[in-house]
Amino acid sequence: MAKERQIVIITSDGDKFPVERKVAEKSILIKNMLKNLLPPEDEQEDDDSDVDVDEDDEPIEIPTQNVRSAVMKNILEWCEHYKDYEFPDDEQDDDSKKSAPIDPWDSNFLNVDQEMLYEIILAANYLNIKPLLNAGCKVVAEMIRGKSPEEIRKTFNIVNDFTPEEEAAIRRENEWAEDR
Amino acid sequence: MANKYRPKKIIKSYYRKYTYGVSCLKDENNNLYPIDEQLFTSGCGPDFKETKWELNYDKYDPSLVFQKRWYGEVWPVSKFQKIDVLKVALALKRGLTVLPPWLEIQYERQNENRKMEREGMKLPFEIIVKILEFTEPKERTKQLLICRSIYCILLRNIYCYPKLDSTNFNPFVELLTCRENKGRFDHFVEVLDLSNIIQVAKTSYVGKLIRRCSASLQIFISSQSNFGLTSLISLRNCEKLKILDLSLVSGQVDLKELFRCICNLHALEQLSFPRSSIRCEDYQFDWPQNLWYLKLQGGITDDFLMNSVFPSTIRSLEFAHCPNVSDEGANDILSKIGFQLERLSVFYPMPMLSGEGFNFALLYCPNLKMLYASISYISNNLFRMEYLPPLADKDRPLKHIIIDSPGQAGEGAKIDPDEITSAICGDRLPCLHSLTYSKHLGWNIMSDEIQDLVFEMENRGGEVYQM
Repeated sequence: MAKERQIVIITSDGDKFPVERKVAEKSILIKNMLKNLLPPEDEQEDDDSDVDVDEDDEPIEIPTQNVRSAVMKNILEWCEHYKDYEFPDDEQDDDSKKSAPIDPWDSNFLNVDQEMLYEIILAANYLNIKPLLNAGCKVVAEMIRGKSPEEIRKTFNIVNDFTPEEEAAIRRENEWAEDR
Repeated sequence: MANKYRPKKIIKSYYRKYTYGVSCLKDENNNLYPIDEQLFTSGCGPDFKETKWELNYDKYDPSLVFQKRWYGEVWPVSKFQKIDVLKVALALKRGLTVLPPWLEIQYERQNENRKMEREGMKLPFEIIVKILEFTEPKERTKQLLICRSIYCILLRNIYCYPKLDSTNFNPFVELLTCRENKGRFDHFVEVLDLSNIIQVAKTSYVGKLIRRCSASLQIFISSQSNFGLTSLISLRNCEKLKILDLSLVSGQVDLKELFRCICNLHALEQLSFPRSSIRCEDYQFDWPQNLWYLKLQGGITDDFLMNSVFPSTIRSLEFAHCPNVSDEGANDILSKIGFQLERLSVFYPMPMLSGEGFNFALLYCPNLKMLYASISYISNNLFRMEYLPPLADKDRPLKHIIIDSPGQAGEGAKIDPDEITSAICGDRLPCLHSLTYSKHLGWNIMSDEIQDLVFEMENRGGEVYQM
């Protein structure tokens, strides 16, 4: 039986994180990379004859240039927690997913400072981990609930490019939809 | 008598005097500038550091930092206030720009924007939009004001399914139909649900609204007010219309006109007739090609049901509020299109229908998957061998039966639960998955008949519900 090749994720600051394949594959980006580099997990056991023995021992290093190690540590903790859980297909039933409340474990996991939360969201977006990205977005959405446009602008550092007249016109125009 | 020698009261206010404070400000060359004490209070406070930072930041325009402080003191607050010419002259000499108060907001915003631009957005734009999508829909209107790009994205979201009621209907119509907005919202509105509107101020409003939304409208649910000819004509252009629900319309609708308008709507899948009244003299209609759901309501007659040629695409049929339909008409339509039906519903009230009017439903509709019937129009016979025979070539696909009751006393006795149990035991309902009955039937859940029924259903993987 062939030994499973080790997967090592290298962060932007050079730290190395050895991980199980199942954990790493929570990221669709890494999953697709591994699909090209390795045969699927269930086939690995069978086709050990053609693979070079030396090459087989070398770990597969996956560089993640956009993620620093503190963030990667959090991401891997999340992946480890959900490694045996199969998330349903994301395309289906999009509206119900948006209205569903955030999982308590996720909520507790994402109870970090704002800067770290933003970095986790960015990393989840880069690594293509949709359930984590959605959870992060839900937490931020909860943060901005009931806030004024001005406060939302400050939260995300968005430049206000409306003139006061335009703002008044938009307010007037969409008055019919307020609080509905 | 008034005392003329008493000094008169001074009504006018004194001119405000400006005096310089004792503080001075040193610039880089150690030149002293006289200033008001109040003028630089903000510079001496806890945000002094930030001010210094701003100074470095605005290297290319050093006057910007001082603008805000100067204008408030040197520019008159009202027309009757004197300008401190000396102070303005000193400010101008130093190369500072003196801003009038009405430019205050603009200046502050400019300063803030410049700071934000330098720092950049904290998250990419597409993620910010994703986050906003997770917020509650009622906050969308506020979120429009964040910036132009978000306005463009969220505007469609607000207008796609407008939540309309009697308080905001008129402003909404006026907004969409005004000349300035022509073409602006053409492709935005997909759902028009007017069911919460009791009375429309002008009947032409609905027609106008449909015409403006015709390019994108997919679902239209009418209000309780009249649905005039102009509204019918406006429907002609709604090529994407999938659902047309006129069930709440209180006025009379000419069926001939209605079909003339909707015959070319290839996307139309669901049609509900108005419940109040229908005028109809002709029965040869061009039905929409893809219609699969039809709700028959209002003044339709037995003649209409017998003489009309219903399309072969209909798979779901509903009867509700049909005061002129009798057993004859109902059985005739079922005998004609019953084999193609998958869902059949009969709602109370249908005053001309007898207490056994729909007993033939399962005989005429062998492919039915769901049957909803009011107890007023079915009886024990529905489940008897003559009316519910086993199918020769396949298992009867009926999965769900719902027996409703309007609550009239004694009607529950029309059906014996044992009759349903024997139909299940006799494998005449092999696919039945759920049986739901109204509590108004008065069936005792602890009685032996119901317990037998539940036992049989559960044995076959099915369930019994009370509603």
